[in-house]
Amino acid sequence: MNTYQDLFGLTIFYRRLRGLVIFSTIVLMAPLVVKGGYFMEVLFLCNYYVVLACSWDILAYTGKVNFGHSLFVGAAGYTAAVLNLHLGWGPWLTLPIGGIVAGLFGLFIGTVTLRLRGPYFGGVTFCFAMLLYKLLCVSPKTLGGEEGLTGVSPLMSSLLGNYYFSAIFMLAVVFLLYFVSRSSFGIILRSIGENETASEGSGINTTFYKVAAFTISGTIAGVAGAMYTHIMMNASPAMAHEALGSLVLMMAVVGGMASIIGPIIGGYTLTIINEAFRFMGDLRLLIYTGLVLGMFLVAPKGLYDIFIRVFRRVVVRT
Amino acid sequence: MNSDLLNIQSISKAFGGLQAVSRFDLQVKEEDIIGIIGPNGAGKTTLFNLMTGFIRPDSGEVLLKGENITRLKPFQIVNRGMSRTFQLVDLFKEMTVLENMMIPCFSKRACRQRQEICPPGQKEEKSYIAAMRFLETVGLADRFNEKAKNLAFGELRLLDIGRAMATQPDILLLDEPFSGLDVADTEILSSAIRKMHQQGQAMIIIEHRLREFLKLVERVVAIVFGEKIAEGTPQEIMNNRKVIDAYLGDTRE
Amino acid sequence: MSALLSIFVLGTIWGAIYSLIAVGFTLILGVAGIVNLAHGAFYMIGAYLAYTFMSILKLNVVLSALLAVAGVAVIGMILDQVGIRPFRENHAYQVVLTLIFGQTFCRQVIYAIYGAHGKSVQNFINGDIELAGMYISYQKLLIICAAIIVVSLLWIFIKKTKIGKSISAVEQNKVASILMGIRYERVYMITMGISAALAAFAGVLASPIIEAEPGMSSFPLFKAFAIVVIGGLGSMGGAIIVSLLLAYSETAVSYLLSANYADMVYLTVMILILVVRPTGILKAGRMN
Repeated sequence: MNTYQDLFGLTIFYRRLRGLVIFSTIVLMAPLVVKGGYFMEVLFLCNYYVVLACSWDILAYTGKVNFGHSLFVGAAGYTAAVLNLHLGWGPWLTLPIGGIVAGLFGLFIGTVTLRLRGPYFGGVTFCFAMLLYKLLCVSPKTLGGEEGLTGVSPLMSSLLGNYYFSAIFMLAVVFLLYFVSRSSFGIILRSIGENETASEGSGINTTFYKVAAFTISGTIAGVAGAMYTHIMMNASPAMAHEALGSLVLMMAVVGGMASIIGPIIGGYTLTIINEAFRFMGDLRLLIYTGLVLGMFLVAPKGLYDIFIRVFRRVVVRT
Repeated sequence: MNSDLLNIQSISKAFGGLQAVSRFDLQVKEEDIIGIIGPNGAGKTTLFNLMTGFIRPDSGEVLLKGENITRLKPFQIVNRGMSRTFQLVDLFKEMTVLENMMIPCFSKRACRQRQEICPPGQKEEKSYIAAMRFLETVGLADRFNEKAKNLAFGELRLLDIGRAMATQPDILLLDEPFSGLDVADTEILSSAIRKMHQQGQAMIIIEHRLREFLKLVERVVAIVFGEKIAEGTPQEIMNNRKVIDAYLGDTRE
Repeated sequence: MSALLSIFVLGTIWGAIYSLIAVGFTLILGVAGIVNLAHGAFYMIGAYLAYTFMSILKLNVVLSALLAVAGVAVIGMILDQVGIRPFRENHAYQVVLTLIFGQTFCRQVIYAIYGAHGKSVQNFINGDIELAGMYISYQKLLIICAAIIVVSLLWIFIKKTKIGKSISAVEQNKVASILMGIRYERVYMITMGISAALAAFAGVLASPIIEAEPGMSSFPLFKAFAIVVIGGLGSMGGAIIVSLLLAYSETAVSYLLSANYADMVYLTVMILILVVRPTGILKAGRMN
């Protein structure tokens, strides 16, 4: 009979970790291969979006689709900007605090909305995000109004530094997601997504776990938002616009909802496609969204799922 | 009154104009095994839903070991010692059999019963061991790594009951566990229930196929249109006028 | 006094338009149980089609309206069969698909065809009527009357016709309706068509008084959502009442403060409702 060690123990742990380690190496070595400011920026964006997509995905394990992810980014981004401009605090303080602020938003909103069954959640989160966006647009001088706040101190002193910061942060998030998915917390989240009634009937306080997942999701997205603010050296209402939330959602979904690799694939793929299509000019977004729509219809479980199925067929053959 | 494990006091529930359950009373003592029979739509499953917190009664109370659990949420009631199965098997289809069994082992109650505080690192390992033990009890230990959706119907039933047992309830509610089972599986299930009863597990079983079921239970309650019309030993119920009338020949199965 | 009257008139107009949108939204929600995030896109396409037929192709008003509404109804039904039907069991996927389709793809199509500048449509009818010292255009009265007529027709349709009763039956109990021989896929498709038509009609009615632009699909969608949440999921009567209340509040706030704050009314109310009393102001009943 298999022991616990066989299923959850160190050996299999290391085996599955292999892929992630390879991925980490590639990401960390990338600057040696890729030269040039433009490409560095694109890769940085990829890392940024992967973090957002991964954090979004944590809640997706429970089957709840969040349309207001941009709220976390905006809230934390502005917190970081305000702390930096008015109190002079550096990124090493503003990032964690931004994350905590976003996490608190998640806690409040989650407690209020996740206890409800039914289709409410998505629309409500969207409305919260819109509300923040509108509030930021009409905000007084201290928050910059429609133009936002500028002059935020940079994150690292060089482009390379920025890239490595984002890369390490992204890898940390990915590994965190990996550990969570294998823990009791992750299995419980998945069970809620599979069948919430059965999970409740097994004695699990589903609301608690949903709110916890949402709060963690928000905190991570918040830190990413604060990071973005420092790298871009400004915070504007556009950070909190619903379009960002929709974009992140598309990445996670196209890559594969509720998996670890999915958001990574989605983040990289869509960001690169978005940049690559720039030569198309005005039609770019149309083709881009059409492509996303098509991909979703063909592969609703995401590219990751297709990849696995192809992989299995190939491996089984040989 | 105080020695009652479960005390249902006069609960009623109406949906719109339809009275689904009407002033239902029941006392269950430890180690009791009780059967509930009644024609389709009599309100049996609604009764279970009312008892386990999925629906709130219009009036009346449910007391578990003296504590009023009427207004509690389902997961809270499970953690206080009452678990149930559903008529349509309610599982996690895409997860493995082992994972299915581990979920109830993650519940607060299960952790408590194992006499530990379940620190994060150990929780998975201890739950795994407990889950495998329960899988062995229902005979599914060798299928542990398969996705639940690949199991045969009878095996799904057993898994479902195993999951309800995994929270180590004081009282177990089974909703039509025999429905849809073939002869072989019926026998497996009967002996499993008998074994649980011997180990002192209190149970309430809703059933429709009377023959096997009446051999298992000690006391039977008959419900028609949400009202209790008779209560007694299986023998008494079989000969009860009102029950025979209500069933119109079903008892001759 | 005239300010009050003007708020009342404008509020009633928008109340009428919101009602159409909200009723359509609650219809598909109640029947098929899906939160159709493309609903706002239907409104937008309705308005743009009205613009296309009336201002570009110079067709007459009634024909343009009919074509616009019919066109969107067809789009809605196609969306239902191609995009939603494969995901009947999985609500999360339905929601994601309708979001991508309605909020991103449709927006890009409109932008590609029409550009970002606002498009306006001429009044359907010219002329004013004088009421209590104020001039109210026939256009505005037309909008109100049209909305009332359509909603009443819908009510009659649901209650009296065979198809309407099927819709009602499927909404109440899908399993029972299968047993009764109702083909629920067809019902879903027709309901979506009606729902889309309502949203499109609202867009058509609104086209003379607003400037159509590609971002206009957001506000009707989320206002409809908020209205349905506040008024009680699945309750048509609740949707209408809340639509009117919301329109009046927004118009008043817009007049007293500014348009930006008006937009926050529905968001704030919805949040309050969710915190305080989640089941909605009116009991979530069946279609009345």
